[in-house]
Formats: sequence, C-alpha cells, structure tokens
Amino acid sequence: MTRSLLELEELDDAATVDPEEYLRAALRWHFSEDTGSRLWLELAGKLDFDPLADIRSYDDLARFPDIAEHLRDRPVEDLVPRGLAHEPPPSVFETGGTTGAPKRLLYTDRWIKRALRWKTAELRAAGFPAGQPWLVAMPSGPHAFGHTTRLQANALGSVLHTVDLDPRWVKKLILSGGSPDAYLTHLTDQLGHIIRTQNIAAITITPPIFAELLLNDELTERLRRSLTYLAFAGAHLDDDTRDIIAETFPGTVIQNIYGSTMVLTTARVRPGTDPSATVYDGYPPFVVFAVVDPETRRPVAYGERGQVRMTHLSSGVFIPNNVERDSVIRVPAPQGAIGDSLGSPRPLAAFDGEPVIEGVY
Amino acid sequence: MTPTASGAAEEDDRLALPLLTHRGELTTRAREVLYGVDGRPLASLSLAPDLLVSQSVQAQGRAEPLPAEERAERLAQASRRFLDDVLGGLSFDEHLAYVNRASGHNARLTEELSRAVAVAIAEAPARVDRARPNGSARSWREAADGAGSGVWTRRGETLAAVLSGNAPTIQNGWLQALALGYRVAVRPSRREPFTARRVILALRAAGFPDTSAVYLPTTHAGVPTLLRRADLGFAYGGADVAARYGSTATVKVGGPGRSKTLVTRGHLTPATLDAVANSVAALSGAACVNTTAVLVEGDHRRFARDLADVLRGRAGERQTTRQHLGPRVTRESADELLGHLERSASHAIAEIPLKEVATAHPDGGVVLGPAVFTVEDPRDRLLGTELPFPCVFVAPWTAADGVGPLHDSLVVNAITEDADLVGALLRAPSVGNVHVNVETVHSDGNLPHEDYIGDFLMRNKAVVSL
Repeated sequence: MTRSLLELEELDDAATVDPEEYLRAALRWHFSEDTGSRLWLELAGKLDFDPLADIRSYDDLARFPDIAEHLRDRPVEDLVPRGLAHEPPPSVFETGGTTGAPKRLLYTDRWIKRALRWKTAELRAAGFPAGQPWLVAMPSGPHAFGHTTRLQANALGSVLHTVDLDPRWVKKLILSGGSPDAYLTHLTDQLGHIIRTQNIAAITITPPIFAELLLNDELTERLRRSLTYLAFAGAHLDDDTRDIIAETFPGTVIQNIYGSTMVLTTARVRPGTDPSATVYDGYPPFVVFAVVDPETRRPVAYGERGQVRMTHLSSGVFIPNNVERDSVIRVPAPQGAIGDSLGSPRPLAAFDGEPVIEGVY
Repeated sequence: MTPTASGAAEEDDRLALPLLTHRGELTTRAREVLYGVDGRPLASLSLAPDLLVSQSVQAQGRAEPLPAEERAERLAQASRRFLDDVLGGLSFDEHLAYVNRASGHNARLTEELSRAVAVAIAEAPARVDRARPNGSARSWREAADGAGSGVWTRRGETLAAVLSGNAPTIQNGWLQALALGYRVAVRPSRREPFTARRVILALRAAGFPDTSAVYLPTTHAGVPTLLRRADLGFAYGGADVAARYGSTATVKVGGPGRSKTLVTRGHLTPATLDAVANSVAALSGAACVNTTAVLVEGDHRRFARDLADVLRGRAGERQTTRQHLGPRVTRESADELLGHLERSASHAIAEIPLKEVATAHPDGGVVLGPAVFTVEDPRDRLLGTELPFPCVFVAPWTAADGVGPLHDSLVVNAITEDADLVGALLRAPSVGNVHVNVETVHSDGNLPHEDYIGDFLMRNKAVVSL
C-alpha cells in the first residue's frame, strides 16, 4: 500500500525509507490539489514537465525552477500546503538577506520537533556540555538560528544567554564603505558582561566576533577556565584562525557549523572528521546536497570544488533546487545515503553579480 | 600553522616566505604561490589571517619602543646586515635575483634600488628629523631645560604600512616611522614581498625586538583589518586606494603620481630631450615620479618625434639583455597594458608603433616601452594616464594655458625661467612637488615626497617646566 508523506516523515527511522518512495510521496503531497500549496500548484501549470510522471530521482529535481523570487514576494498564505491548513500556523523565518530581499521559509511544528531531535543528539555526541550555561551570539529576530538554539538549550538542560546580531545592518554598513567598529564594540560590550558574570561552558558565535573577544585578555582568560564547546557559524572560519583559537583553548571542542535557512537546518557535522577537514552530511531523504559546476550545473568529480545545490523535501516545504552562494568540495555521502556530502565550504566570490559581503555574520 | 626553522625552507623548489609575527616566524596553511615575470613559480608566501594581524598589532601597541639612540644604532647595524648577512637563507646577491625576477627591473636598477634601501635604513633617523619644526625639541627634557618648547611627539604607537611593489625603496617611509619609535606592521606587496622581508629580517638580526616590525602578507581582504588595528597607516596604490582611504584621517595615501614636465620656449634642446628621456625611463618608468606627460611650448610634434628617437636609441639592443630599459612583465600583463593603451589612446599619434613597444625577453616575459604619443590638446585626458612602464604623452602648451594642464601631479618639472609660473605651481594645491629644470625622478632621500612623512606621524606638544 502507498504510504503518505505525513506517514513517512513521522517514522522514527525515516532516514532509512527508500528515498524514491519518499520522493514520490513528497511530489504527490505538494502537487495534489488538496494538499499542495497555492504557489506550487500554480507553478506546476507552467512547468514543461509533469512532476509526478517525470521526476524519478533527486537528481531530476534540478529540472525545477529556482523559486527564490516567490519566497521573497508571495504572501505566506500562498506558501502553506493545504494539507496542513488545520495545523498550528508555521513559524516564518527569513534568510540572511545578503543577496537582495530576504526569502521566507516556513518552519512547521512537525519540522521543528524533528530537527530538534537530531540536533540535540548530535550536540551531545560532539561533547556539548549539556546542563551548563551556553552563550549564543547569533541572529534572532527574523532569523531561525536564535530560535532553534533556544529550543536546543531547553532540550539540553542548559541556561541560554544571548547577544543579538543584526547581520543585515552590518552588511549595509560595510557595503556603504562604513566601518563595523562601533557595532563590534557594542557586541563585545554585551558579550563581556555575560562572560564576566556567568560560567560559560559553550559558545556559538561568528568567527569575526569571537576574534574580537580574543583581543580582550580578561575575557579570554575567563573563557579558558570554563569553555569546553565552541561552535562557529555564519561566516567562513579559515584554518589558520582555527589553529590560533585551538591553541588558545586546548581541550575545547571546536565545531564549524554550516547550513542554510533555505533547507531549514544546518548540515550534519560528520563525527570524527578532523576540524580542518570537516565533512558535512545532509539529512536524507529530507535534506539532500549536490555539488555542481557553477556553469554547466553538472556534478563535479569527488574532491573537486563546485557550487552547492540543496534540496529540502518535507510536508511543510518543497525546495527542489536551491543553489547556494557557497563553493564546496564534493565528498562522497555516507554509505548507502543519497546525494553528496560537502567539504571546506567558502563563499563564492560573487553571486548573481552582487558582491558577497561577509561581515560580522 | 607550524613554526619554521628557516625562512629558506624549500617547498617544491620555491622559496618559503613565512610570516614574521610579533612572536617569531610562522608558516600558515593559507599560502600563495608567487610567480616571476617569466611566469615560473618563485616563492610560496604565507598569508596572515585577520586574527593574527590583530594580535600582532595589539602586541606591538603594548610593547615599548627602544630608546631613540638605540634605534639609530640598530638601524645603522641593520643597514649593514641588509647588505652583508645571509638573511632568510639568502645572501644579498641571491636576494637581488629574486627581486629581479619578481619586480622586472633590470639587473643594475634592482641592485641600485636595493642598495638605496640599505641607505634608507641607516639614514631614516636623520631623514625624518628634517620634518621636525624649528620650534619643536626632540625630547621633553630638552624643552624643560629652557623656557619651554614644543616637543615632537608621536601621534600614535603603531603604524600599518600597506606597500605597493613598484620599487624596493617603497620601504623608506615606514622606516622613518620606525626611527621615530613607531612599531610597524608591514603588509608587503604580494608581487615583490622580498625587500620588505629582508629589511625586517635585518632589523631583527640587528637586535630590534620582534614587536618592532612585523611582516604580515595578507590577501586584499586583510588590508582594512590591518589599517583599522594600527593607530596610523600608510597605503600605497593607485586611484582605487586613494578613493578608498583618501578621506581617512589616520591613513596617509601614496596615490598615483601623474608627474609632468613643462618645456617652455627656448628650451627645446638636446639637453632637455635628455632630461625628459631620463624622467620617462628611469626606475623602469614604473614609479610615481616618472614623467608621464610633457607639455611643450613650441613644436610639440617635433619634440615628441625627437624624444621617441632618443628613447628608442637608449632602448637600442638592450631590450633582450639583463639591462633592458623598461620593466620586464608577464606576457599577460603586457597584453593587458597594451590592450588598454590601444583602446584608450586611439585618438593619439603613436610616435613609436605599438608593436615595437613590447619585446619578448629571452629569459621569459616581455620588456615594455618606450612608448611616446602626441595629442593636440593640453587638456586631453590622456595626459593623466599613468602606466607602469616608460610611456609618455606629449601635448602643446602656451602661456595662456597657465598651470591648469599641470594640475594633479605628484611632481612637475618646469623647464623655464618664468618665476611667476614657478610661483603659480607652488600655489596649486594638486601639485605635489615643483622641480625647476630638474628631472622629475630626481631625489636624494631628504626631499619631501608627498610632504614630509614626519608631518603625518608627529605632532607638537608644549612642555614647560619652570
């Protein structure tokens, strides 16, 4: 008998479901009049192929158009799958907003719960000091990161301390030729207050802001006594900087987080990989990566650099073909998993003609 | 990152150039292969991450400078070591070979300019002191002894030097800052990072602490961090650098030169042709003091033709030897520069056909220049063209044109007896230096270049003790 998408994604072992069965269920869900979103039902009519008949594999998803413009401009009502109309309203989070207006993504309760289960398990396995104070200096507001970390802290039994970042403001500042100095000082002032008064055991932060903290001897000394887990996200961390940090905090677990709001999660940091060669895995069948040539959009060879294409399939969201602004090395996926894994992500020099600004975020 | 024992550790036959940080040498994982003008790999340059740049400058800010007298002594010693010691695994001659392959200056000029750097190291204290006002003493004790005085005081403690690679002597500015007690973070040119490195190795060998001068090559993206962390900065480059940092009060910009020579009536002589040819072709024609435009009162076309003949004669058979006249550049750079010239100068008359402007060199690369063009309007925008090889534009000029066509010049050589004209040039805000019948390329290290550097680095504080 045919299982529905809702059934499949709620399975405890959803990751072991046959990806093609999952894909077919997802296509049925998003392209059926009674369950699909207004956006996708409308776009379906304009495709030069039949999603249900012609899309046979995850690779075929590349035939779909990039829907970024719709995620920017459409009212959220058009994005909600009809099949979920009677469920609690989804949380709306936005992408960074670096490459034009931000895109809106719907985080359903179903998705949030599922992702929370994975992430907390992964954090524990990586050596996160569950139960001890955690400082997160990442964007909240329209951005998902600040919200998901709050849920994770709660599930891990850690008190959460936060400093808010406004990456859009910083990028505007830098783009207009201004200096981020005053904003950085504003952030380090707030961070300093927390670090001086709390026994921070875990930090999640961007590399440039952490670098500012390291220039403060008092705060560095204080952290050397209490910090056991350090995660970087939001901006590229080069190997040499990581070496300096690892030297300063011997014994501290250092992780580079890599993800995209466009697929509603950060990638899975493959356990046991050397921090300088972290491998990032997807969450098939929900989130699948491919590494492609920026020009031809064909897969590059393993070990070669290409642009990362991301796919998210769940009952709340259908993102079949999202090309990220990042250059990555193509790495084989874990045994039996579909798609690619990623190595050494870094920003592409320019994307869609707009310079990519990496500020403090 | 791994500390390295020797700067000359080889990596695929390439010279390794580790960083010289505030706490010793460091080879980073981020490295860039440096290619010679012959297109062959020359060295592997470590690149400093922002965090290390910040930490180095911070450590420099916390360090005490050596006392002034000791600085002068150690500079004199460093000058000798620059010439005599094996530094980073290289003797002076071996060093010259690297500079030669990276910079494209001919062998003799490479040595001349490198020896000038040694002189600049030793003379830095004396040269910088020329900027000290009459009313300012060197130390507060001196001021306090009398009825009080201004005391020449540093405006900051750390200086970032963002260098360009046209000539080894680009070091001269930051060396004066070092002589004043500044701790200097040098971001060398990625085209020619050898000279800055050898200077800093010589300083360290002469007993300057590692915090006195650090060597931190970075990518382009590292420049804003460096300039932000240091109290003051020098930034050398083209119009882009001037546009970005020109209005930053803590950054002194070494911008484009666009130096010009004015030849007035009665001076259309062989001696003038000779002087102008020197001004165009000295220093490989790549320096900001090279004449790039000549304004001629009289038969400018004939002057241009004669100048072309003189320059051609000088290039003669040299272009395929080690003593080539213009710079040796990579084939790609040559194509790019000549392509630019061909497009932008299409309305000018080429006194030397463009195909003669590039000569393939037997050791690889292409020797550029000389190029001479004639334009018919003293306000032609081509007169502001500055290309890194002997290339000059000749235009007519009459007294009625005044000094307008000479604006926006680092140096103007006015070959004239007209005192009013000289006065007008002195008053023109966008004219940097005025030479009266002296080649634009003339310098003895004591003259201000873009003002005295000491004016930017120092201020005067009153000290009174009754």
